[in-house]
Amino acid sequence: MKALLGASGRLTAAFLLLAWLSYFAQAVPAAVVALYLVAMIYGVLRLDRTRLVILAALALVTHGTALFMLIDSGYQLSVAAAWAQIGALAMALAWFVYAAGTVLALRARLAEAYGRLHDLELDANQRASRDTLTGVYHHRHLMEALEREIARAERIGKPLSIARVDLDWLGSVNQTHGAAAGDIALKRFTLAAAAALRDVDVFGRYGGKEFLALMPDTDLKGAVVAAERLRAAVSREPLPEVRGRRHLSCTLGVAEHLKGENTRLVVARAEAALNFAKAAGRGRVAAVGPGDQPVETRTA
Amino acid sequence: MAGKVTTFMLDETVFYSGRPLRVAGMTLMQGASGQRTIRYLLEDASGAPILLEEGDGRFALLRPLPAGAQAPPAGNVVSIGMEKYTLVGVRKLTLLAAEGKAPASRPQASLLLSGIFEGEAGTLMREIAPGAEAPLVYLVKTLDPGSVLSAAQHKEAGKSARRAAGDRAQEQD
Repeated sequence: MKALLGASGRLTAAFLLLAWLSYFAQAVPAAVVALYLVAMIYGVLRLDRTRLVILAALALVTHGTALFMLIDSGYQLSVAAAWAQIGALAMALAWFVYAAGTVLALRARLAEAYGRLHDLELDANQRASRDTLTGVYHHRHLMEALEREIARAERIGKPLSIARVDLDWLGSVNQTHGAAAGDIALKRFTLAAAAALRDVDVFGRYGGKEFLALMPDTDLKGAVVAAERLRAAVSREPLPEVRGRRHLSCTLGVAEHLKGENTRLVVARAEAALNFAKAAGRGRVAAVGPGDQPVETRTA
Repeated sequence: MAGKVTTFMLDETVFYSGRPLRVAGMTLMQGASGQRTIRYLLEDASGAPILLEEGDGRFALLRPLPAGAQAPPAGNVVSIGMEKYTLVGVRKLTLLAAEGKAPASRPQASLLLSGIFEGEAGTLMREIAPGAEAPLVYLVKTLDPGSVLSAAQHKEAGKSARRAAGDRAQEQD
């Protein structure tokens, strides 16, 4: 809307300038007509038909006024020639208004094509296994991997642990430094977190600023050590200053899969541990031990 | 449960953080001064539960702490790790109606007594149901308006994003 008002304003100013040029500078009025048409080309690309009709009428009025004021002041131009010039300008302007309809239709088709492209991009993101921003696995792939790992752990009798990971202060980063800074923080976080895990571990984005790490063949004790290693690696990453903090921080909740437990239950226990760690002040690791007893393992 | 009282209906799909979630259970409760509070149990495709509370037209996430986290108050203060939370209010909710699964890890109680505690790390709610063995403790996160959307609102938001993508493309031309 702002852009349209701007384009209308610029064209109005151009037409008034051309009228002034015709009258005060006594430029050859017929040559000035060509400049009106050049200005209209810009209007065809930027404005809708209604605005163009209004501006065309303005051009006719300003140019006609300038012509008759010139005649009154003794300029060598007959009334018939002035009317002929106005008529020629009117026909040219009418053609531009007609052409604007075609350009508008093309612009609408272009916008529709970009809209479809946007939908296809969203669809492709859904189908792909990677999160487009961070490059780590996305939620659906993570949950499928967790189901596979639970089945494997049950089959071979090996432990499996998971960690829910929450990137702290992302909302404050977005508010203070903008969404682009938040995106950079997310990327730095995922690089540091993924590097702190083993190759056999699966790490991905659970949603928003929450992530999930799957650690096969790892009991709760080992998972807590790995979680602390991840937390420490992330805390070394720089952050644009927010609330007096200059480094990234994350909070982790760890749980070990219990025999017969489904994905929902183990994720819920890890989330409860994460909630406990957050309530205990963020930037730390908490685990859910036997009897659902929370264990805070480290402080920031 | 009347749809006019609750924002969402049982089995309706709602969107939180862009993720589709199904309303698997809901309870309608009334406070001491007559205000209505609605709790929704939302589940994603994997069945992971999310507890959402609606009151005075605002939504809040109730994030449960482990069942073993009793957080017994010492006077007006509850401690979680080194964090201290101070009692700022109490609430009594009476159950009016319930549908679907109970939105908590225990059977639906007819009466809930809650202590609201605030600290530097956020808001904590310690909830006791008469007859229950142990209290439940939640970390409370108040959501910004527009964080939870119905399917129709989500579709409209998608259309807006689609239009914005087209507009941006035109601006760049």
